[in-house]
Amino acid sequence: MHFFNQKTMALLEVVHLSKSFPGGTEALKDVSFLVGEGEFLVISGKNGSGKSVLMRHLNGLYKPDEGKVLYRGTPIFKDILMVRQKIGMVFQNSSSQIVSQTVGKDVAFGPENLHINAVEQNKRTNKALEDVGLLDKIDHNTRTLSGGEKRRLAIAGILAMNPEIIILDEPFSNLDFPGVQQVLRQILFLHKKGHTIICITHELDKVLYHADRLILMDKGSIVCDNIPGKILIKAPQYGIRIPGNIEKEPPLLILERMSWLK
Amino acid sequence: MAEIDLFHYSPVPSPLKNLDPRIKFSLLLLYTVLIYQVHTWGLVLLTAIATILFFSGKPSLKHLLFRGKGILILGILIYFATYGAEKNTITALLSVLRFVTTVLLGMCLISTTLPEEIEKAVYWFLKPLPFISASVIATRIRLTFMFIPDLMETAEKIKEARISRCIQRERNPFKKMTTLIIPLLSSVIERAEVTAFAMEARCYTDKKHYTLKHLTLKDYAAAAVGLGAAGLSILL
Ligand SMILES: Nc1ncnc2c1ncn2[C@@H]1O[C@H](COP(=O)(O)OP(=O)(O)OP(=O)(O)O)[C@@H](O)[C@H]1O
Ligand SMILES: [Mg+2]
Repeated sequence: MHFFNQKTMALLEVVHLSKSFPGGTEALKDVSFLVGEGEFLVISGKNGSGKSVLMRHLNGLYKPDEGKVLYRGTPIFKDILMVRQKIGMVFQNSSSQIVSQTVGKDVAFGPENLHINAVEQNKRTNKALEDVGLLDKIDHNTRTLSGGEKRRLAIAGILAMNPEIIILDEPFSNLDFPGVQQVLRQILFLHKKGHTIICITHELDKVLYHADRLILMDKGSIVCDNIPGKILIKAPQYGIRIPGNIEKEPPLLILERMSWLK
Repeated sequence: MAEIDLFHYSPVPSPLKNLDPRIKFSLLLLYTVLIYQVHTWGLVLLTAIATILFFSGKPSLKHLLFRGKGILILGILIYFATYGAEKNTITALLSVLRFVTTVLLGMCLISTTLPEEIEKAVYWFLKPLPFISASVIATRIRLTFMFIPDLMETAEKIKEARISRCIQRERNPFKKMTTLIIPLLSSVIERAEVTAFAMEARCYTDKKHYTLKHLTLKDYAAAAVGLGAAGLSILL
């Protein structure tokens, strides 16, 4: 495990981000953090704490009221299409993310938008589907996939764009035990291949063991940002369940249990 | 697991599948207009064509019964509505036939053409027109076609939720309607919003390139046969 060394250049810099919605909801309040290359970052917090809103700022789907996001030192809106290629997003509801009728066409949607030639498109589609283990379903109708398969299809759609950073919003929701395992294995595989991973979830017990770093959010602000072992103790007070008694057991022992691959 | 619906692209091979979407689309438009213009025997011919084409796609019996029910109910409504206005059984039956033929033709197109293909065809037709963004409209139409089955699934779920909360005991038909339509609309809007974001996140822009295949001899032959049948239906 490594903790991002703030002296090397950050891949992604979030600087004093604030966002309110009409009606007065302050979804983000002065949020700042850095993401280093190759990091596995988990962002957690209870329902409505602002995780999904934050994620949509990271590749410019939302414009902040204040603050900015930098990718390799440059504001993302300088070249937003390039940034969207580099920062792939898997949304909370993966079936809404499917835009094509067949698995292969859906994966090709991104490369098509980049006007990549057909041969390269096919190559990327096949490679991405192979990486998520869906190559044999390339001609299947997207509606017939299981929940876990849909989520992996959403990941493949992102992989076909050759991203550096992969952001996943609640990647385990609505999945059964094998489904969670499949997706988790997938995430670890991508991390090992060198992708930077930002995993947004309140289900820490499924994944935290594998993470380099944990950010806790509450009411639109970051309340903790450190290696998991150091801030696990604070998770319950922000509404996150952990598998153990933090007052009686050492945090590292509890952390050992926080993976559904074990 | 979602089931393949009649109003959805079907994996079953069909002669219509290899046909260029532009040809299918134009013939569908032409026939839809003709259905409401031709005389009795012309209509019978068009209905026969639609029925043969529809069954050549080997629709599943289960869904045929399931969807057929709704179409039947609409058909009966149309029958009585026309009968009420015209007081003529034959006229009423003909308007039912017109409706059924339109539905059959629509299903032929949807079940044999990928939404992506429909999108390309729409783009091709709209491209020469000034002042409109052909690619934006084409994409919306594609997404609409993809939404149809989702919409039905969602409506089904909402219906179940209403039944389990005893909607049958509600007498006010207006309230009965709104408890279905409002959740349906809000779920559709929410889904459309996420889809739009997801597309943008994957670098979708309005400036899209479409690659359409050249028309083959088979396409021209099909177009000729289709036009011939259309001409015949006018003469009959
Ligand atoms: N488009 C919007 N318009 C108005 N308010 C919004 C909008 N999107 C989010 N919000 C509000 O912003 C706050 C943060 O929402 P967000 O979706 O980021 O929460 P979250 O941490 O992702 O929660 P969950 O765990 O439920 O996914 C909530 O109070 C929400 O109601
Ligand atoms: Mg969320």
